[in-house]
Amino acid sequence: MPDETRTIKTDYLARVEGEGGMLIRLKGKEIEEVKLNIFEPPRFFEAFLRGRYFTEAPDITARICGICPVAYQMAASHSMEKVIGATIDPQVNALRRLLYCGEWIESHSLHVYMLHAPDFLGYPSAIEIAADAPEVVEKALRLKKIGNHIMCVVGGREIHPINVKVGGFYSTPTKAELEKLVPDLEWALAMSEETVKWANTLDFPDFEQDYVYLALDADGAYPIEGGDRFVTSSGINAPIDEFYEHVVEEHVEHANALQGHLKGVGPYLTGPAARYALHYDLLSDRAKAAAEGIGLPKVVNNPFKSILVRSVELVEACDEALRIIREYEQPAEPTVAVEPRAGAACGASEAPRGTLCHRYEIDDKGIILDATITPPTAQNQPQIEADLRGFVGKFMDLPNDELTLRCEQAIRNYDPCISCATHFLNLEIERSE
Amino acid sequence: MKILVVGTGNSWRGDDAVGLEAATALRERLPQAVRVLATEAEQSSLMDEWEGCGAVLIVDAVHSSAAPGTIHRVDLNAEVVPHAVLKGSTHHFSLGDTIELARALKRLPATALFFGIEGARYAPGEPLSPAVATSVPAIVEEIAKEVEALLNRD
Repeated sequence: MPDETRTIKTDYLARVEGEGGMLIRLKGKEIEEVKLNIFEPPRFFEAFLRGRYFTEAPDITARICGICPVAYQMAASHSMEKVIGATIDPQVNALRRLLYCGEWIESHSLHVYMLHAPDFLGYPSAIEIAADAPEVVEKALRLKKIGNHIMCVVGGREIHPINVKVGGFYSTPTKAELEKLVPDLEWALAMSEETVKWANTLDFPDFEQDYVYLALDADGAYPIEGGDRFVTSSGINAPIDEFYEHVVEEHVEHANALQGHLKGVGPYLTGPAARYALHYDLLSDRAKAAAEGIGLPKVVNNPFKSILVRSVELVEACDEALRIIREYEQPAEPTVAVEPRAGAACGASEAPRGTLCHRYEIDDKGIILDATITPPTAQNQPQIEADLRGFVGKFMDLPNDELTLRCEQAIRNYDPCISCATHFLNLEIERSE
Repeated sequence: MKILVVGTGNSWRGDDAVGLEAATALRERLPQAVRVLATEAEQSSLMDEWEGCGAVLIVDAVHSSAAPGTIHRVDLNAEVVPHAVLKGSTHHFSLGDTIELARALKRLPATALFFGIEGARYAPGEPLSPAVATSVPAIVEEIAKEVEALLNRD
């Protein structure tokens, strides 16, 4: 039946942050429609920020996401510090990078083991893995907890850290306090290396895309907590203040998150695969060795192999955290003085799932006049749809159930954060009186 | 007995904040020896929070077909959280997931109770709906009684 209409649909995607669904409509061998539905609440945060004092932006925007609050705090702080012309102590910057490593360890370990692995292993969720292989899940949880712990020590608490401010921190840890993290981090580093090898035993669909990659450029370091420039594989190398000259955000009817496109290029990819492809040479020796150990090429165009790249970044985050602690000297002052100055600037950081850009305009009293926040998932959404289109085109002969699962997996390749999730439970209760 | 009370939710999303509000009220109401945690965290870390506890009592907003403000009580050691709970999750790793994961890993405390308050609206930036706000004192009272009974059992 060549004209038979097939619909591949998932109303509520599980194992992603936020609220999203997927719809793919096929007519015979033709793909009629591919939609990633994002019901993210309109980004009321941008409106909410107007009229607030500039130093409030890191704490307010951190509430956007329970899984990457540090990304928001850093992007907001960088942006404000640029507007007011604050210079940050290098050790304070190092601490910010350490805090961010904690977020990467937490987020990547959660995604690799608890959210993405079930797709590859044929389990509905990590709960069933826990029943069959509790030791794997216990190790994953320990790894995640070590990331959380870094965030507690540097950020004051693990979720929505309270210690970050425009200008630096409210207080800084002593070297001895950080050194207590070392034994756990050494375990985490070894476990991350094991994770790379384990992830390489998974089966990957034979599927590659011709990606345009975008990531921050952190002036000689693997981009994590920030970067004054951004680069793309299409040849852009520009100051972050020119981000919105290259990236345009469009509203589409089926999603209330804006979708990002590169002008003159179209969809692009941001996230682990982009950072890895654009900055492979800046990875630590341990991370490179882990990648080489499994024969991972320097550019990974199979989106399902993002789990391998994420695992390599786990090695990078653990190794980098250990280096920062080794070289740390507690700064004389946790912060520099911050005085308002009228102006506008962009600031960005590399959230676990990709580049997060903020732009603020403030007046001479420090009041926010305008705010724009471009999260990585909004940027990746057109590319996710392009992946779905490509994947369904190649594998449309699969039975519906399997194709649906594979398409969900294709979305989870991006570790999407359809942010500002509600936390309520959809509860079905059946009881007889 | 070490007891942990957890109120969870999202303070920016209408009735989803009810668990947090209940926890805030319970912190005033309960003896100091009882730890009360109000958290908007990604929830798999809750397992670490209740490690070593003899009892955990969790309060969160729920969404079923009951009237707004209805209080559901689930004994987690006696009942499995319905699977639809997990499917409807909007979390990276939700409370329902965490409870079931803890069960699989044998990490649920001997006493583990869940209190769900039926919500009505979850729009960004809204306060609690009237029916849900009205139910807060009742849920606080119910949990306080449970805690008292647990303490008396010691």
